[in-house]
Amino acid sequence: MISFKMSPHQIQVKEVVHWFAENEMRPISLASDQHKRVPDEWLENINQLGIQLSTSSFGDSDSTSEESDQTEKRKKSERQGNRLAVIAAEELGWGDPAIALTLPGPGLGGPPVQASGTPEQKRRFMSIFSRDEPPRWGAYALTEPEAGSDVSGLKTTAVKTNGGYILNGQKVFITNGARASWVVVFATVDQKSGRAGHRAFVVEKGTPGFSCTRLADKMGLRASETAELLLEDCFVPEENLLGGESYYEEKSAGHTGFRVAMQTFDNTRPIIAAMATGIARAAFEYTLDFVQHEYPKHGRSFHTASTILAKAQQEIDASRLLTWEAAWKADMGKPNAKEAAMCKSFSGTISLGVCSRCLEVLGPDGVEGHLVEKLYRDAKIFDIFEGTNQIQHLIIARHLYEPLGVRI
Amino acid sequence: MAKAIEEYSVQETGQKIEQVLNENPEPIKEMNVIYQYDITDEDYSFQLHLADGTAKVSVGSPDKADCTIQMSFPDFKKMLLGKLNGTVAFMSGKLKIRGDIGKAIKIESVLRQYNVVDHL
Ligand SMILES: Cc1cc2nc3c(=O)[nH]c(=O)nc-3n(C[C@H](O)[C@H](O)[C@H](O)COP(=O)(O)OP(=O)(O)OC[C@H]3O[C@@H](n4cnc5c(N)ncnc54)[C@H](O)[C@@H]3O)c2cc1C
Repeated sequence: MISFKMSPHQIQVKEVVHWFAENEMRPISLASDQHKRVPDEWLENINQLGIQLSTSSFGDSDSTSEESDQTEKRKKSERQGNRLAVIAAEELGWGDPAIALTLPGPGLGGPPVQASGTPEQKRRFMSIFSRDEPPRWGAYALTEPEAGSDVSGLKTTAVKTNGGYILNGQKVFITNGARASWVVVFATVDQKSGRAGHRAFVVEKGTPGFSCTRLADKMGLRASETAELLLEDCFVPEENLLGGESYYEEKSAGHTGFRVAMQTFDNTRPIIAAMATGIARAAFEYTLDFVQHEYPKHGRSFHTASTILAKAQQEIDASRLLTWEAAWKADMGKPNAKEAAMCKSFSGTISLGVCSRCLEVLGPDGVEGHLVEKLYRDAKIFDIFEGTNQIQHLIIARHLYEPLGVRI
Repeated sequence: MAKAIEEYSVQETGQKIEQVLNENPEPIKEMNVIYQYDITDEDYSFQLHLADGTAKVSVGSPDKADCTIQMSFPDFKKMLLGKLNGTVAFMSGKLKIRGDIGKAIKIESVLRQYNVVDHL
């Protein structure tokens, strides 16, 4: 059966997160963009609310409590963390995508720790995010100057030493990289062995040899921190190798740092897609309102604006449905790499297009110090991070055609 | 010795909230709102009226509430003890809100300031 009807719980999540987006995020949106920073005081206040941008904050919340009946409960009720997360992410993207990425929590660093960490590591790294403590962040550092789309060319090295590893290398474009309490850093123990040599390490803030060298000054998502990180003879203890040594030793299980890195994306791409959909919706709603109030109610220009808006609505709806499907598959435990890539590339593209056309409809009003102008700059980045569109299409093609024996 | 919270009935819990709030009305000074709590597993409702710096609890639903919060009694107690985050409870479906969402978020942060644990 196919149903597009949201459950009462899903509707509630949408309403509450929308309330938050409208009443807490929007009022500081333009100023945060201008100052290229989300105010610390705001972050402290909202940390106490506990709204996060991650799948782990929904439904599975019991995993952090000591309740013994949690596994039983989870079996009984259908998992819906991914669907709730995309519903919430659309509203947060609508509110302000840069602020959404700055909400306290493990961020992109969460999924690799949850999926590959030992129980002890999960406890140690995830328990620091509490509303009774100051706001904290996690981060995910894969990209390097010479390795973005093609991560098999990773150059950060990890050399085994007594009790741990020595890391050397540089990471660029790391969201929340400077403010993070810990960063999941991908490095190679053997460059010759390619992906098989990749490992994921949790590097904690303040570790000697680990520093932030620069913050990027970007066209969009300006309020979101994007850091360059440097690892110079940085000693990381063995217990911070994600999953532990044994995790990688068992060759047959196919565990590599590369797999850890890529698994993350199947869960996070739908969230990024949902945020892009939210950006498009924000631009669309603003422009619809403008046309209703400012345009003459008849004639060519009104007619043109109406058809532009109708097409925008169509693209937003299509983007949401692709995203919901990818999230639903993840909740069902089905492989969703293809769907995650599809919704990510589709939503990034339409988000930018919708914002662009909305700017045209708004005319000169739209281009200066204006919400839709900002959304347009923000939307472009959704085309790039978490894998560019070209890469998404490569992934889709592989999933579609490799089973037929076509090598891509 | 005072009773442990585990032994409080839902009626006693409501009265206790009223008493604690009135002993130190500072955090509710500016508030003018009616909350309704529907305790689902006990089939019991009470309202918390905040006005002019005083708190009044009444049984049932005598007035029109600005905001209704529905949850089970064990979860309600956990929330008062600070063991359950309102947002988390909400996201996981343990808590439902009808009416003004902003006011629901507000009351949780207000009750947190009281450290109700110390009084129970
Ligand atoms: C705001 C922001 C935040 C980010 N946050 C993070 C983060 O938290 N953690 C992290 O690890 N990274 C992060 N990134 C990095 C991001 O994931 C990379 O920028 C992205 O993967 C692209 O890599 P690249 O910039 O090296 O581009 P390149 O890989 O150099 O690509 C350049 C161009 O070539 C195309 N291309 C490359 N290979 C192929 C191919 N095989 N076929 C066809 N076309 C190809 C690409 O599509 C692209 O158009 C962030 C980036 C930005 C902008």
